[in-house]
Amino acid sequence: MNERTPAQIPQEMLDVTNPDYRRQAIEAGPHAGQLWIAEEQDRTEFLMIVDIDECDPRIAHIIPMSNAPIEQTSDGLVIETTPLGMPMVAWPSLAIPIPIRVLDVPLGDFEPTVVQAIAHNEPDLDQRVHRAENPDDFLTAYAQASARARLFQHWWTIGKHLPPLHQEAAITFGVSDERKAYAQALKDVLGLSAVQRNAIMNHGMRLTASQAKKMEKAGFASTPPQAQEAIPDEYLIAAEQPRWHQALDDMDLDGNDVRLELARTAAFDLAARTSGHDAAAVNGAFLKAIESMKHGQ
Amino acid sequence: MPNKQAKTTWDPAQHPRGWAAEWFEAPETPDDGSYRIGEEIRDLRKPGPKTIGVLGKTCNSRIVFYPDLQAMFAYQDDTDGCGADQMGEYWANEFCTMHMLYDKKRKAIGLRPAFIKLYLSSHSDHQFRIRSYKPVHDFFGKEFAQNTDFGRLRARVEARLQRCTSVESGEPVFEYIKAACNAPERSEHVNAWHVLGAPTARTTKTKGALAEAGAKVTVSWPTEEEVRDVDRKRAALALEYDPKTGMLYQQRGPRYTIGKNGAKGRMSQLDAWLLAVLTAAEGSMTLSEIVEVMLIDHPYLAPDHQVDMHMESLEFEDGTMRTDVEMSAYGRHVPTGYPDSTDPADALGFYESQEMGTREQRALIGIIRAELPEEAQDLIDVHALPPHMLRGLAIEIRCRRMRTTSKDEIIEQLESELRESMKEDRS
Amino acid sequence: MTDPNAAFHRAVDEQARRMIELARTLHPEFEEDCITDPDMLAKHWRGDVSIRFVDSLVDSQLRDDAYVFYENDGEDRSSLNDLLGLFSPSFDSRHVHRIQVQYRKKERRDERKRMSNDRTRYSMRRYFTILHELGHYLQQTDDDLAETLMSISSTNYNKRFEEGACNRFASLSLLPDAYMRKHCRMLRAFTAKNVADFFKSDQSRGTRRVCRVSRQAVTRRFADFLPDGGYTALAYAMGDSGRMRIVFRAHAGGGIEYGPACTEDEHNLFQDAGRVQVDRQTKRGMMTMSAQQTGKGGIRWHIIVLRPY
Repeated sequence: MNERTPAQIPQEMLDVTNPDYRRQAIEAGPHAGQLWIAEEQDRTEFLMIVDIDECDPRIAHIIPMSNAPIEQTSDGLVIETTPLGMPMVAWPSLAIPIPIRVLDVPLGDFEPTVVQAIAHNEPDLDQRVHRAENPDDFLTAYAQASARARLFQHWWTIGKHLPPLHQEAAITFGVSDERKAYAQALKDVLGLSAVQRNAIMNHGMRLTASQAKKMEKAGFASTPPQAQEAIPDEYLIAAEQPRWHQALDDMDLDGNDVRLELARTAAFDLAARTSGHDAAAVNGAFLKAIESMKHGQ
Repeated sequence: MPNKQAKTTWDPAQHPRGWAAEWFEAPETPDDGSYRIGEEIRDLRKPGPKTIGVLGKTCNSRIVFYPDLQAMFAYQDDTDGCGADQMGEYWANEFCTMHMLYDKKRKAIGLRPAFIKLYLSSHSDHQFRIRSYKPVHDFFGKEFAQNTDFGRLRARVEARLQRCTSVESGEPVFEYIKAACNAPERSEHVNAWHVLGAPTARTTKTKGALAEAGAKVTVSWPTEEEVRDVDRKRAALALEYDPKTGMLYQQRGPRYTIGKNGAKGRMSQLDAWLLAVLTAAEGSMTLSEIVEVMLIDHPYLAPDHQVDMHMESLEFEDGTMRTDVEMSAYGRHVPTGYPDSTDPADALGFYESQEMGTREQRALIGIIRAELPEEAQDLIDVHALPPHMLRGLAIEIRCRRMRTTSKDEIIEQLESELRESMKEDRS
Repeated sequence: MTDPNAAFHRAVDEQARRMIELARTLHPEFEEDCITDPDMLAKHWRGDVSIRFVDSLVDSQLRDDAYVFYENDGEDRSSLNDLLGLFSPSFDSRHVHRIQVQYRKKERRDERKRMSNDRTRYSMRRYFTILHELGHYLQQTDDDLAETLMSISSTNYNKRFEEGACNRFASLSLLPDAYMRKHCRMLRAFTAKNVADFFKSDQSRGTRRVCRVSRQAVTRRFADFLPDGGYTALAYAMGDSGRMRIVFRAHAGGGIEYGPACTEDEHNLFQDAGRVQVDRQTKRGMMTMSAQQTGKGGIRWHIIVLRPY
């Protein structure tokens, strides 16, 4: 060996572990060319984002990576210049779309030419990117690659089952005769005030047992007819952002359910009294929704 | 020669065992969400006392599964009188930092990627601690396999068991299976070897009795002198660092031979010994058990290893379950399962559904399965890989097997086999 | 993109006008209070709903189960920690309905410094907030108004409807039709300059009108007097970049777009903008842009009007 490799963290890694950088990157959300660590149930993997999906911003097209050169296989690429300041391996053969909800730690940006080389599986970029080789213990390397591929495909599966976007398009403004009749019955049968009736119809207040009985006797259900509901896209998309990753993983609910519930709560139960739905408004509502869900648990 | 009775600096009986115990142990790292370890690593640009302290505890809890590594520490010149804490810290430092011999001195050459990944991915001290178990365990597995006498001997015996074929039929003599081990609360499987066609249940014979059966076979065992001589020569070789793979490796050095090769039409002596022992076992044995039988009469082949005269049970004396018994393949990565999706469309993996993957994948998987030893087949999840990678794997396996054939020829042959196989598939 | 739902906007407008009618019925001095001194609302309505000014809504115990009004109009980026108004309905006769309005920090200081004869000018947002919350009170306590809320077939529109009606109610209360007609003679054919002038003069309409209405509210209100296809917009210049950002476009008929991209016409008009109004004939109509007005924080505002041919 001609040069001594110092056994310390390179400056580049210090830059991307800077709390200010991390905060800013999490706020800004994921974008093309970034290095991230994705995580689920304590399983972690490096990856590079090639691009965010055009049609669904909740999905990122990524290429799996590793910071351990010994894990390389012959179809991979070895990248010398990385945001970590240490060489990494990339597997363009394993390129795959995954939901951005698994992204956990942002770790800086690759140089644009390096991003292109990885995305198009093109080695020989003036020594910065070159074709990998199978190591001596290639069986272990392929075993690790297959486990990696399996995990990323598991994440891909999660991404396939996200709630559909553009649900709002199906909703039109109108009056429901059923709901009108039920609201009237709350007044006629139970003698409830306007405020009480509105709370029951629109804000989830429940009838008492005796009230429910009375309504049933009068031929009405114990709960009002459901209003149509479509969660606006900006809330469905916001629910998937990495900024909520840690907080939501703490909650012991199914990943899809908790995010849907979060989006619902933020969109409807709370101060969606905004005159606009910009990012600040949506994020504010989400913060509150997470708080209230945590206290509810 | 060091005394076979290792200096008892660490008593496993004092330490909680098993994966489950770790999780329920009173946390020394308070879970207040702070990541002081991360701050320390940033400030010092390398692991510091806090980091090493926490990793030391992890190392201490994992190393109970590798008594050979504990012994390795105990026998080092500079570790006389060191207690359990220091041993944990020693291994923690080994885990974090890679070293090599340079001018007969050990130099730190870089931080281990597994340590870096652990540091970057953790958000709190508590998480760092929890997530440290797996990479430390993997690290010990590799250390054991590469750097202990027992580990290296074990690898040699494994290679023989995989390659041994009958001189008459050409079929494998030994088979690698999962044998059931029933314990009071749960039943486990261990990876075990048996003679093909013989019973698969775990052997009920003692190691002593099996050593006697093996002693009946004529084998030119190396002498103690020969083994020590080889050890001396190996120690003199410097470790090399390959910056491409980030691996430390030892140049190929001298080996002692175990038994003579078989004359034409006859088994090698070592194979004959293995056959005798496994036949006498009338059941299956783990790899470690087989090697320990060998050590009963030839302890100098792995002097730092203590032979447990009892067959490995799945339990420790206090009733807690062992988890090291061949199930983790001593540090080799074993793929874990994922929750099943109920959507039939998910059954087709992403890489399978690309290109015209399926047929080509099937053909390649068939070829790979035929080439790989059984144990390796367990480790590589071939169905998860896209055709391009399967192709790379198949080529590599063949290149390693057929060392006198050129790579181009191997590729051509593979392509032709694939074409044939896919034609059949279509018809 | 304009909200295509004309029926929705009509319904919101109708609800708001019924709310105005109800408010005037309950309190004949309502119209006058709104135009002159909305602080009097607290006094006059205290038998119906308690209106209080507080330092902080964040710590309010009622925060979790009450309605929160939070407006982001671009002038001041509010966060959820800058809650402005809270309406807490009472479900039984033992408790009163409550409105709480949070002081902004500067207001609190000014209040303390106020001399008894001085009428301190409070922030424009405060009056809009009081009226918006009053709108919630009216819609939820009046049988007829509440019935409309309860009959809407979707949760999406239900929320939007109630909020929209509250905003419209506040807008119509602070700038009633009669008031608009009185102080803007060009209401049938106004240009951006008229809107800007109205806002400027409204700021100093004698000591009788304590209340000031924001530039946003004025701009939005003028859109009501445009024929279909027209809009008013509020924009500001971005530093020295020569670029402009649109806060909102308020369309005749009710729809509002927040933070849209500039159209080519708007951009071109901005290039000519300066100390006088500029105009431009576009495909859709005549577009006018007011002269620059410097607002709080040195922001350089422009009002745009598109009037269809």
